[in-house]
Amino acid sequence: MLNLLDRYTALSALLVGVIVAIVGTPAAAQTSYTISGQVLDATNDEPLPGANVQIVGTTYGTATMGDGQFTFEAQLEPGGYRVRVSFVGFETVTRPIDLGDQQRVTLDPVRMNVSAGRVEEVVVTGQASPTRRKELGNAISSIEAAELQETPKSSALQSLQGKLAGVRIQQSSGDPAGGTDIRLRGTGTVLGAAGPLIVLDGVIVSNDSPELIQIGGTTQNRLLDINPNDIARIEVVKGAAAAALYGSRANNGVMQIFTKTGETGETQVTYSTRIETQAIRNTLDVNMAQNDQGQFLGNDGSPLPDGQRRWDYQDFIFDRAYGTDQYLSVSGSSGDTRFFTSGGYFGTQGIVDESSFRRYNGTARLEHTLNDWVNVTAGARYAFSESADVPNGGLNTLYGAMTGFIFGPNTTDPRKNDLGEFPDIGTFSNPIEVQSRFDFGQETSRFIGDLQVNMTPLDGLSIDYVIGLDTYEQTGTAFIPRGVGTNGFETGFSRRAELSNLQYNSDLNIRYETTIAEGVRSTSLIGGTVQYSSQETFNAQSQDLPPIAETVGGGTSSREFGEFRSPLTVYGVFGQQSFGVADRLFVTGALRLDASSSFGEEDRWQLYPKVSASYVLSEYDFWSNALRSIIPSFKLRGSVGWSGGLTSIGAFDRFTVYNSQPFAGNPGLQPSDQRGAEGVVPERQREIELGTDFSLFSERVAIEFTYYNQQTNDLLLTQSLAPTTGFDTRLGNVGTVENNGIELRVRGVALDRENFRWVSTATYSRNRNEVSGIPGETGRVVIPSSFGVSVAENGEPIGSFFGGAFKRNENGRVVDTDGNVMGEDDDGYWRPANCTAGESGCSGIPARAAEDQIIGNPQPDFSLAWINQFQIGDNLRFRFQLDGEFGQDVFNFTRRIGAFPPFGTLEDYERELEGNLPDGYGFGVFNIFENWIEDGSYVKLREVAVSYTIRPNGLPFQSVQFSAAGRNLFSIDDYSGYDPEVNIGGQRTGVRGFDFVVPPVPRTFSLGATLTF
Amino acid sequence: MFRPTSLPRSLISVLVVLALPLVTASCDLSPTNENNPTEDQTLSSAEGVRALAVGMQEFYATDVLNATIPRGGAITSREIAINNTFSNLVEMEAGGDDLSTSNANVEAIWSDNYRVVRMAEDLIENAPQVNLSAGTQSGIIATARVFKALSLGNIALAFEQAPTTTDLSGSAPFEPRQEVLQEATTLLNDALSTLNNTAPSEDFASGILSVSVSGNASPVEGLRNTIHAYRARFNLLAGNDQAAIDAANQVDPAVQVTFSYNDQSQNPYWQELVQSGDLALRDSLGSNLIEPGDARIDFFTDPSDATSTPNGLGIEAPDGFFTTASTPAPLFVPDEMTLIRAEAMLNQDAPLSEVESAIDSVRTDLGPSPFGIEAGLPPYSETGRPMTEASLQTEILRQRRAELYLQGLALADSRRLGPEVSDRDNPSFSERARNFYPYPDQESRNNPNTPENPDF
Repeated sequence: MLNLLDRYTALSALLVGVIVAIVGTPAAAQTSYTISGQVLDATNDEPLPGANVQIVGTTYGTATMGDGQFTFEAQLEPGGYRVRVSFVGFETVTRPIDLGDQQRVTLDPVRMNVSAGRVEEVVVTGQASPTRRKELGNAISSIEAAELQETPKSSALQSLQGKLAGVRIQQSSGDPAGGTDIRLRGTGTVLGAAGPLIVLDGVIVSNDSPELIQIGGTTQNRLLDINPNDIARIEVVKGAAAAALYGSRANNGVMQIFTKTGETGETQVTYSTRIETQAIRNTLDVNMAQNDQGQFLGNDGSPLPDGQRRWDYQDFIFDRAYGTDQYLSVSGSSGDTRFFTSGGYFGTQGIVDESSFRRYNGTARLEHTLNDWVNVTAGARYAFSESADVPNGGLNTLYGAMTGFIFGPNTTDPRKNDLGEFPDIGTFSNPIEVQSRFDFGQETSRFIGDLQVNMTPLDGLSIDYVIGLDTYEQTGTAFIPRGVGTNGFETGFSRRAELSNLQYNSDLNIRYETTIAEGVRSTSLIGGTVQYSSQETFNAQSQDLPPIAETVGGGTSSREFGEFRSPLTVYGVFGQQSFGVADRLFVTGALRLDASSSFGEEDRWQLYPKVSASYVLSEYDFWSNALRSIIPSFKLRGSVGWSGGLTSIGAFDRFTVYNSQPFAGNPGLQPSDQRGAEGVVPERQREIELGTDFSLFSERVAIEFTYYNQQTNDLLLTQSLAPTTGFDTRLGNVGTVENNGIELRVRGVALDRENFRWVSTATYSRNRNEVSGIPGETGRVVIPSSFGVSVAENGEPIGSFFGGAFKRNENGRVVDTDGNVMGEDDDGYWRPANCTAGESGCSGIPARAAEDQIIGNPQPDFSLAWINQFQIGDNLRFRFQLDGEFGQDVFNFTRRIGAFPPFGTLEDYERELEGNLPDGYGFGVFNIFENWIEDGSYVKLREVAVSYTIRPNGLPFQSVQFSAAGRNLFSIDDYSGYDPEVNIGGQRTGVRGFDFVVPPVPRTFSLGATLTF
Repeated sequence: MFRPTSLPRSLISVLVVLALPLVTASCDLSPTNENNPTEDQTLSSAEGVRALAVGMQEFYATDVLNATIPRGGAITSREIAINNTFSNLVEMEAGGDDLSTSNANVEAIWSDNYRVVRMAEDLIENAPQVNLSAGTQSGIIATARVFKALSLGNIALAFEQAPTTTDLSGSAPFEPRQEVLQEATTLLNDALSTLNNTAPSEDFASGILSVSVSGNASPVEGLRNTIHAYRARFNLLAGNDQAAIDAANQVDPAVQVTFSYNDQSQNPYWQELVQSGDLALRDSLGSNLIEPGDARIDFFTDPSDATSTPNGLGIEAPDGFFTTASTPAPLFVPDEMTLIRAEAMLNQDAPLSEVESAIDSVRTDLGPSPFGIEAGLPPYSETGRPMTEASLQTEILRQRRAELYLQGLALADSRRLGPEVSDRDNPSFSERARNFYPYPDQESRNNPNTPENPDF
């Protein structure tokens, strides 16, 4: 094995070699050509703005303007070339072009036909070079800006929700900066992060969800810093079969984001503005128990004293929220330099009163063509955001507006009294006091930069070099003033936590494309990458604050501070070889060798191979014309690949570490109770993927179908040790998790008339997840931060709910504590089937089974989405998206608390007080967790957008587009809580479907206008 | 437009300048852990071994005492009442069959003590390998033996069988508790010979040994006194009466040894009784043997009318060694030696009057005495209790219960000197809730040598 120095030397030599090659190669004789033309929609001869025009094999090209016209310059040797015109939703057109003495060349109008298929579409993710879908052995999902930017949302991830098969995106809360979780093809790790590797314009960017202060389930994920308006396109590969080239970081798939770039031609100025408003969709029914005399009842069942009543605290917590999104972009070219620059502001309130989020973005992207074989690109993007957070509480803290509400009891007027003080409402915090007096917030400042050099020194040879840098500082501050009613915080509390994140990647790819025999094309690729990241956190907190001061230093008791530094280095080299035979059979093989500093010297080098093939049957002669008229294209594909998982292990988890603990003035050290595990290896995934892509009826309908099987071995889990080892736990490669599923995407042009076009896309995906190989008698591991409810257990999906179950008789019927058979009524309550609750020998209170068991699964059986786009006339467009998930369970912890008699804040306890349920019902079912598991199936009207474009004459702008949109307008579900999609676990891997007073995802409306100059 | 060739050259130099530092800075596949030393670094360096010796004492003084006494034996022996509805606490107070093998409190007694055993073993093994002066090495090894003995003693008082060493393979063999106590006394004897063979250095006394010693005595004298006191204690419990008397006679009652606490290392009793309030001191020190006029009740508690949650037992406010985060706590109280002598003499069939006089020296103590623990009671003869062996045995239990309140001995004392208790279904709140704890699940699941759990 090479040692470190050798590798470094080799890399430097490679770099120097590239430089020598660049400087040493003479430029060929070239002529400057100006190429122009127009692109039209074949159905109605309307101009197509935004279509891509490019000379094949070069970097010269542009996009069409508002009138479908294009003009660009190219420095090329005279000769025959091909111009390719592509546009989403249309069949790609390729035209030959002869460049000779004429320096101005005008193409005949290019008419494009509508197409549902996308076999000619070019993707790059997982391929390391642009590749037509036709040649791919795996499914790659992609999505264009137009489909992302019409409806309001704070984060780019939210806009992907429901749009891609096999991609599960969940907005964990309705916080204005609230986190969004992304999973590709299920979960393949227990301890690690389950989100994909994210690459933005070649830069590996962080999508961590740092929990710097306790706000409970609404943790921001850092993809929030990317302005969705800047995005041009997103590609997603979902597992090892497609992502093997990314090696040890690819177990959870890869998502690649491409931002907008400048095009050759006139300067384009676009300004868009939008206002939006959000409101809570539905609230919980609270306990308003009264006796027959109309007196409100306390939790003990007796009437409240005169003048006291029950309150719905939600009336005070939630309020309509308003926000705005402003965006300006300027792009164009000057000589050989193309530029794109943009600035944006997004600000909105949250539906939880006093919460808000603001973000400022600035971007600049420059692309310079040095000559016909060297292109240099530099990008810089900056984001600053700040949030005002209202803590919800969550599972670990006593303070929180929503925990204050649910623990109640709701028998005190929570508003300020005459003395200006907030009354103590009982169990935890007064929600209004939390909202008005607690001051929690986060600030993030982030820079992402990249520098890329793309060279084509010889025909077929290209060299690409990228340096990417992503760095951010996130600061969270929490302040609770003296004198609040929250137990344990009466003397005030202050905390400040900071995270500095720095990561960069330096990638070199060399590709050679050639024809090795008649009809056989070969593409070879070698590459290397160096990736480094460093996360440093610092935090300090204290209690017993002086009056007025808010900073940590003022506190005189419970002072704590901590610091942690975590570096990670990854090296990788890879090679890939593809052959294309007669444009119908494509075979690719690749190898990646990769090392990570998280693992011990013996185990850190890992090899990840992949093989894939695509077989385009419709290119064969036997594919008769008759067949071709029904199925114009038909392709089979298959691939197998391996990848690794890095995130399950921290930088130094393989060591037994000692912590500082002085005593009696002497410095001291104590071993951690986790024993080191020097021999652990990275989790390793093997994925097999098979699929077919075909189109029907002259490309009017395109179908993509994929089956996959992912198996992650050497799952890293925390094993318990016999305490007589002197330790408590140890990391071990012990389990296996398997994901099996199918994905189906059908896209069709339902109608295509001169004045009306309707394109419809439907996706279906299902995934089965199963854990195995966990050692020990129970074969079960409890997932941290889940109240002991979420587990990984052999034979069950990750994150399954475990806990108290109903006691059942030999026939499987639920019985009460006296053994009477019970049935669940339509209202969701259990009542005795053959006797009257409350009578002797008929308690009517469900009994709890002796053994706790698996009681639910938060993963859906399948999910569906249906997206429709309508173009009416030239100017009016309309789209809507329905999507849903079916069969997943939600653990309604919120209701469990609200129904428990000492808290009694929800309508469940009102029934008990008013006699609809027997006394003791709430106590009885409190620890039967199965009672709180609900079906979370839903169908949501995720997006509706309508836009109208006018192109006025004589005004200073080319066009203006007005739009109105709505998001999460309604949900069809049987869930009794706020929303079946919320999750107190935020973006945590194993804690899913856990509803504990998280602000629900609101209904959002927006109005906007986009002006193009 | 064609650019002059100087532009690409300059751009490329910029690129190289940008690229090279990135490549060089990131080459480290084995980065240093700047946060924590690793095991190798700690155990192979003198400063690491020294710091571990300090850390071991701290862990014992805080976590081990917390788990072993207030959250452990003191609940089972009824010295302390639970005052919260957490199920682990409710199970501890219920005792009997309700105490599950997965109870976190029992698990903590077991695992925290074995963590000290592990640290001590690492010190004994590695101190001779690193560059320490002979006097410092001797002090460290003696201290490691003492704390290993203390932890094994805690285990032997709470469990029927237990390993005498840790075993990284996870299959440590179990020995009967008498063997464990024997191992503890052997360790203490060895610690003494280590100190006798090579006098500990001043560097050890001031920079490593972290106990506080009263008056003008040196810390090493304090360590010797502690060794004798625990030799006396463990020999008595192991049935070596003469060895117990001999060791007790070597304890200098004027030298008091305490652990000092502060905000970083908080008094473990205060944490439970005041900070979290999960536990509370019971009326009459939790025993109906205690005489109403016993001044020691007022030493340890302040009167209060409160009752505990959920079992409604009378509870008092904490005093004595429990009032603040930084109140020091003794490693032993000197009158334990007097009571050890009394009990050993009784066992050796010495004249009952000698036993009585030893008991009276505790009963009639009016001070000033070490720590201020004074009974202020009339002599035994005035109580009207008979001069029988059985009655004196009960009297020793009574005095131990008050004098050694929350010293971690009440459960063992009650088993040895108190009535037989084996009501598995419903132990009352005045008698011990268990004789021996069940072996924690985490041990029995992972260690094939774990024996069957005791019935009660």
